[in-house]
Amino acid sequence: MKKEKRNLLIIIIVFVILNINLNGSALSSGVKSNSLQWFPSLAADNGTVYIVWADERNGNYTRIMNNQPHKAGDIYLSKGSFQNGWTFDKNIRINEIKGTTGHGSPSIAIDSGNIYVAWEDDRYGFEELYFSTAKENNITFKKDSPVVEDAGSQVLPSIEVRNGTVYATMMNKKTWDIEFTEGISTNSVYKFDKPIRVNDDPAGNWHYAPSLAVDDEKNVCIAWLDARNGNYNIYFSHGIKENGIWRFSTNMRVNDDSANVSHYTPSLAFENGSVYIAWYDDRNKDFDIYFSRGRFENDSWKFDSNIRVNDDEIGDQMHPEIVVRDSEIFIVWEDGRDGGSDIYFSKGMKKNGRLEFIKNTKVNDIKGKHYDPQIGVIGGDVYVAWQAEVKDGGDIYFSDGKYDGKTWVFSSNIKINDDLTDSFTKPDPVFLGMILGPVIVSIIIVGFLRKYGH
Amino acid sequence: MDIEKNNQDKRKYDILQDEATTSFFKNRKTQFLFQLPAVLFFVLVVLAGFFGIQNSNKSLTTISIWVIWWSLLLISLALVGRAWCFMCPFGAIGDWVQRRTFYKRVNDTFSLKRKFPAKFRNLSLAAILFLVITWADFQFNLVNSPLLTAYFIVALLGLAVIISIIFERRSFCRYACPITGLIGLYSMFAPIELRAKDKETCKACKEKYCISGNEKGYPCPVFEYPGTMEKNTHCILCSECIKTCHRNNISLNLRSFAGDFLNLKKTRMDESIFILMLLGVTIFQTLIMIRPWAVFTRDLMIYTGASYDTVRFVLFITSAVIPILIYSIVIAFSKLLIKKTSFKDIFTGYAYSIIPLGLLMHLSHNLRHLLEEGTGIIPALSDPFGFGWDIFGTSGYMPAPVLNNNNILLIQWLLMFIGLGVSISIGKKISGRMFHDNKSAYIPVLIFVLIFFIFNLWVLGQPIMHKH
Repeated sequence: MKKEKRNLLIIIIVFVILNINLNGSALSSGVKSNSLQWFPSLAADNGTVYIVWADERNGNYTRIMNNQPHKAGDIYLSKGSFQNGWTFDKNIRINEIKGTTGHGSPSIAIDSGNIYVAWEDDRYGFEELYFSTAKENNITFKKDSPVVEDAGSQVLPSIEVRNGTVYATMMNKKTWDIEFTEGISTNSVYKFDKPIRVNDDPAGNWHYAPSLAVDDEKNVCIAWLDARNGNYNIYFSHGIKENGIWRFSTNMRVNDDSANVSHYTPSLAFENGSVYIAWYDDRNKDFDIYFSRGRFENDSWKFDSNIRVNDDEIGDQMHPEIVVRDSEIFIVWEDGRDGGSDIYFSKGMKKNGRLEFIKNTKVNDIKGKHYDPQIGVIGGDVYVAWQAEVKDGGDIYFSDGKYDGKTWVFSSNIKINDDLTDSFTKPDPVFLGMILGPVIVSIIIVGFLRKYGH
Repeated sequence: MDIEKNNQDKRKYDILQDEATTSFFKNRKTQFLFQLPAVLFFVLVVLAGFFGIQNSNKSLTTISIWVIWWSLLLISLALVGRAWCFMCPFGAIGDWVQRRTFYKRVNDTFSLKRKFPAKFRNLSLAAILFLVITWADFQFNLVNSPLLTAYFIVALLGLAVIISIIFERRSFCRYACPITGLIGLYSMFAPIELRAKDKETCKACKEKYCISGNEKGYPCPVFEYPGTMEKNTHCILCSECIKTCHRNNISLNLRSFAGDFLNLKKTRMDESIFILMLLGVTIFQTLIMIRPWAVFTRDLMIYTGASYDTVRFVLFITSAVIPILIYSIVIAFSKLLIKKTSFKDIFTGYAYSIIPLGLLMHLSHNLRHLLEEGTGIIPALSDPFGFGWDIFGTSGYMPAPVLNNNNILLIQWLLMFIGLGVSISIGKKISGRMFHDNKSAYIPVLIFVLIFFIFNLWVLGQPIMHKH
């Protein structure tokens, strides 16, 4: 009977093993599935770069939002420094609870040894902005907190920081307005004012993709995509704080072309009384990168004629990012001139008293599709981070550009996200020993006492 | 009184009347056959935590323990009492080490058989461990860490083994298991009970094998005596008394919900305080997941200058203590209305009436996790280590909530109203039975119950984030 039982057990085990995977490879591949990284944002400080991005390494389809399974994700940061080549530290998760939040559009700023990050977050089932800070020399992010007091639907943050004060612009998804808020720290905890409306048109028009810079007097410049005239234009406003109250100037249209042209995703920088704005539009039928500089003259803002930045005639150019240092203008963008999507760079120079952009330089040196470049400049170095679809849905890449006297040369592209190595771990044998050790010792002692003791 | 008792007895059904059921429980292998798969699954869960993917949304460890097991445990407490203890891997492994056998009856156990220290023979240690574990949960983000969850399971298992080889029987289950207080008190609500069929038979019984054990079974591992047992709190349904009772005087009754509260004669201060502490901790666990918490704690950090961890810890302790303080004030008012009864008796008497509301509050909180996040177990079972396996062909399954937010909220509110109704009903019956039908004394307690009920309704209605 015992033998029969054993045989029956063996038959059951064999049956289970043979049938356990009718659908394919039971113990397959060993290939770990890659996760999506996207929406990079970059800040640079004294040879160090900080890159944040949205990351789905911990995500899972956990919610139905708008009748679609919604994949959760996190916001990650990596610090890069140059020591015989660029090295990036282990990725750090910024948001408090991993894998539970929707993810998107982080914006990073650095000021006085601190890192500031704001991002879209849907941990409570609706999109809003969250914010956190850390010290540059000890990157441990503080408890994140909502930017807007009332549960709202703010998205697409753009932040700058001056002397510890955080300036943030955002889009309100409920009203389609561009909003602005200022955050001040008390006891190292930031609290933001109630957001105020920046656009001055009647309610109901669509406004999108705001970009913010802080001027020399800690006033703010904001540019955004604006649909008040039917087609999409680039608009600008200047905010001044008077007697503790922020007031925004009459909105100005920045693009100077005729109607029936759409303009998208402006990027804005400010230096020495001038505001610099880059965007892309289809005035030449395909998309090109355009630029304009604005100055405050005779009680109002005046913008120069728009200048095309890309030097090709074919392909689409999109999503520019601009930075200005010592009156030098640096712009990166996505570029489809080679048929795919690459990252290109150009610099604005004065030639014969007229601003021109130099021959465009390709930043990425690996094949694939490259999107959403971000730029920072320190000294003679131009830092670029972007999202690339090389092997999977998306990774974050970085390159450092230098001028060699003739042309701009970008370093080999480096992948920043470490999600493949971050997903697995092993128990610490010492810690495990500290847990199991007392159990084993107790068993030995009890055994001894039972035998020889009382 | 006898008529009432007889009526109650008539409303019960003893499932041990059936011979097959009795022999099922009398068989020494029965419990082992439940314990073994539970232990094997726990081993898998621990290995997955140590060596598997550290993504809590995809980890078998975190999903199975914190979303599935914990939610199902609360549901099972409401429906079948401490049935989980029958198969609990911690108790099982403690027993196996102590008895050095999986299911046989042995006399020589591997234990010093010390008595548990008298001052801890109550719920104090369990309460402390429960608070420590709840704190560790949010402080170290236990629910989001497969590795820490595995460490936690191993540590708890180690504690169970050490206690079982030093102290007699299942002292761990009775006094030190961090959830013994919670499951013991909640199980009083369950429509099932293990009791002596006839207490006079127990009185007349000289052998009392249920206490001393015999060749068929061990003495009650949790030091209960069926002859006087009147509530489910400590009985782990291990069925040893069914095996040892030579007079077949043990019944396993199906009864009405909340049956324990109707006959309660002995009340205890430690249990009463645990009930109130549990009420506060349950609300706290929901509070830290809702949006107003983020704004409230940020403002506290600004005003006090304290770190988030400090603010959260202080609020945690406050939430555990506040129900006790408010309830004490409430009972002081009740005392004014029943002058002949001591404060302690009123305090402990009415405290049990809060259990149904507390249980269903707890259940409604975890039901959301189960319904929204529980389907995460489907791909995790196919790929428990995250190595890219597809054992059952479900690793590509996209977990999604079983019900939408509104439906879940509706169920939560329904459970809350049931809890409120049962609590009030029990409160009134306790007034009648323990306080000479002085129902006015219950009014302050009723206000207390309503305050917590309304507050929890508000909490449940707030935007809440996922556990994973």
